Amino acid sequence: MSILEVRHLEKIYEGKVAHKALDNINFSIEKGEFVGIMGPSGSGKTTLLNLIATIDRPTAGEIFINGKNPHVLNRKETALFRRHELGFVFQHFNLLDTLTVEENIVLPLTLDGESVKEMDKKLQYVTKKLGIDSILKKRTYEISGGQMQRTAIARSIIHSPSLILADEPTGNLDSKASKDVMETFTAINKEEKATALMVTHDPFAASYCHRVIFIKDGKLYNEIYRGENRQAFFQKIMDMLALLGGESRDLSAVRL
Amino acid sequence: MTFPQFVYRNVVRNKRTYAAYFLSSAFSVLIFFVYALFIFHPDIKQGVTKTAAIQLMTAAEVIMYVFSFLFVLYSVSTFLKSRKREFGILMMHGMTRNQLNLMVFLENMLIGIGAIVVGIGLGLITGKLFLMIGAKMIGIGPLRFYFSEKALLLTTFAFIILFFCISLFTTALVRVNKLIDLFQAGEKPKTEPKVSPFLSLLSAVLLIASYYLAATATLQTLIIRMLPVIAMTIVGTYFFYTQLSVFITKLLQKNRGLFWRKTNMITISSLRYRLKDNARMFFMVTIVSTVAFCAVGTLASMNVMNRQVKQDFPAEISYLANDDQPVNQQNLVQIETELKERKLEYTSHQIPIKYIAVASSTDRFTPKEIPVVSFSDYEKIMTSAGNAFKEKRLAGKEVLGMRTGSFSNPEGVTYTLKQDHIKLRQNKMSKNTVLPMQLIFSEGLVISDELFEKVTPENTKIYTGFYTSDLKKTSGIGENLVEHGMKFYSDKGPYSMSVSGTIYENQMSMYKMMLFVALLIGAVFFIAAGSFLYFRLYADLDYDRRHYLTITKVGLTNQELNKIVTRQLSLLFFVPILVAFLHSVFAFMALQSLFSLSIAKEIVIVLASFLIAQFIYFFLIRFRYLRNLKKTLV
Repeated sequence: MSILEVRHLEKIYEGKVAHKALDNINFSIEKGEFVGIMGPSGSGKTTLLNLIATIDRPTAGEIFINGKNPHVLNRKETALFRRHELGFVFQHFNLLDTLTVEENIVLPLTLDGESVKEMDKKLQYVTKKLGIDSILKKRTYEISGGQMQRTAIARSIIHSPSLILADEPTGNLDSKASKDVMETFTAINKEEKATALMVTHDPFAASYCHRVIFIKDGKLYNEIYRGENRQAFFQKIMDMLALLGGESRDLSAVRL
Repeated sequence: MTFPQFVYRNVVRNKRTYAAYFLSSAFSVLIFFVYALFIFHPDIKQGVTKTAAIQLMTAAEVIMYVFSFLFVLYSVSTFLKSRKREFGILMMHGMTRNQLNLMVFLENMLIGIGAIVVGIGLGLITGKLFLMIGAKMIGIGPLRFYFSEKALLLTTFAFIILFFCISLFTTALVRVNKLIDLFQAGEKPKTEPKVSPFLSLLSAVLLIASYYLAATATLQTLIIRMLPVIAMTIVGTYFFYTQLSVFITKLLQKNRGLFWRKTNMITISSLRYRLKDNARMFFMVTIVSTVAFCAVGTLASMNVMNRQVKQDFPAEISYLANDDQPVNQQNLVQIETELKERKLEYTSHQIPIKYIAVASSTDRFTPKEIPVVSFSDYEKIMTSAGNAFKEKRLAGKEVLGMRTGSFSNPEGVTYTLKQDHIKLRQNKMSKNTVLPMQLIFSEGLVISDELFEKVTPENTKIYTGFYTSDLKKTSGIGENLVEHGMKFYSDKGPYSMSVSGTIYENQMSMYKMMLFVALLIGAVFFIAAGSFLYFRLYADLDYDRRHYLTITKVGLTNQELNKIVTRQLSLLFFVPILVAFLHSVFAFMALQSLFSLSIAKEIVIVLASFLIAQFIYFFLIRFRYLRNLKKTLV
């Protein structure tokens, strides 16, 4: 059963010169899949993610998440939809610095009015899994970038959403922290059967996915599957990026 | 973590941001409460100045309340603006619109109730002190501390309603059209500030014109000019910050010799953005400070008005008998006995005032008769009052207009007397007050001694002046003859009379009370202005940190960083204050036209004390800000 289904998606930015950011995008993601989206700058990756994240509205086409189309819901239903079905991980972490690590993590449950006991149980489980159970009482400015991103991941999965959306999750991290974060993703994907969609520039991060979708100029360009060997997959991604002829900085993140 | 816990922590852990806002709210509550303590104090509710005191403080309560309302509203809306990204994150995690409203509402109420509790708490602790100072100023015996439930309830309910209304208001202020806009707020690079040369010019013209009008205002033009000048200044100030100042820095930036020198580049370029970003805040601070300065300055300058008592009433006790009824003789004897009882040394003399019939005059309306005094008598009045007398002796038909107060003006009127159709042309006033207006209620003339001999009066009144060296000691003399030191002229009454000591005392206690009220209100305004600055600074702290981090990476010594920060902070702190000073100075120049004595000394004292307060605040904030900044820059 597919968790995410994108049909004939189109997004036009109105302005003095109308700009078609996305043009007839079709794809779907099955439950338990971990999918990456890559493409040169300006290809429409972030627009696509924003549409799926219900932050922005499509011009035409439909998106179904877990069989429901969030864009036909009213304001309150949209909020509840985000709360129950989606989890977010951002490049800039977007943790609230007035809250401690644990408070940031339980935020989605707090908004849902869950009982404190239940929150604690889930918190213990998630943080053990992500290896951040020792920093729960700390404030966000007292922990490292990798820890912040793992906190953000914990926050995105604590309410067991149908789909986790990640926007350049390794964009602000060094290679060691990137590796930790991607391995965390892989682990929760495997063990929790969590479905994830990740937009990235980084071929190293993308090599952890099961499948990478490439888009160029707002259109689907290609997709490649991982198979058994991550090393080989990384090479395939590099080749594809070279073929795409994106701007050179898309290729700069060689970390081998 | 439950939802209320979440809200609570959001506020409490953000105390640095809310500190100044919280404290100045609490201070407003405190002052409001103190006024309420006065109003409801049982010992204060008798006497005339005391009724006036209550009225004055009630007015002050209203002003405070309205101002607090605006202050809280403005502060809260600026807080909300700076939190757009945070709201974006929360909404991403599925916060509903209602939950967001509830959060904002609860946060405001939390701060509001905190401010009320702290304000009233401080009021209870310091209430005795305020009551002591206040009682001293109003001129009544020390007031015991009286805990008034009414004051407590009034303050609590007034401010709960205030915070409640504003909390409701502000939830409507958080407009969330598109989540994507919220989310990207603050991340967009700042765009180049745009200015219009026309509006810049307009601002300069408006300010210069209103300064000119204020500086050249006279007694007659003041009332007509006041409102347009205030409006012009406000508009001019607004465009000064949004347009003209940015325009000037743009010109500076073009001058490479200056702009590319040392740290100037960093200072000037960020100043441009800062000016434009903070234009509205600068504007608010300037206007609020100007109001504070003007309120306190005007009241302080009224001190001069009391010195003016001596000018307006040359004799400490003036007595004008309208006829020769025996009651006048009795009264004069009573005054003399009272003076003697007090062991006051005094001189006195009587002069006749002749009322002569007038046939016609060039004035709009011709009086039937006009009082005249001889020049020698005028001289006698002046020398007895202790004034050096230098006016040129009148001869023949020369006359002087009789000055009856500070504001009398020559009108160039010609009077034709019935007697021999003598024409008397008055185009000059006597330098000093001859008889107080309150006593004679009419125009009058000082004429030469020979003419005074010649004229035959319709009737003659006798003026008696008592002179002592100490004005204040005459307070309370002839209490049964006068009301508040004054018995006004009337057709029917046998006499009119003034006692300077009592008048002085009444004015003084009125003045002190108004000063007391104005000082407290001025303090509230001034602290509110400081809170705007503080908030602005901390809202920008994160941005500044990144900014300075970049610069230090390029290579910036500690001293250079201190210098840049100090310079920028001092601009933030002193630009609005200096503009407010300039505004106030011109306002005081206009005010000066109301007084015949100079008010410069009082004004300098008031402005200097405000400046010192601002300096102290500046150094305090600079110290904390630098420490905060350096924590992240190693």
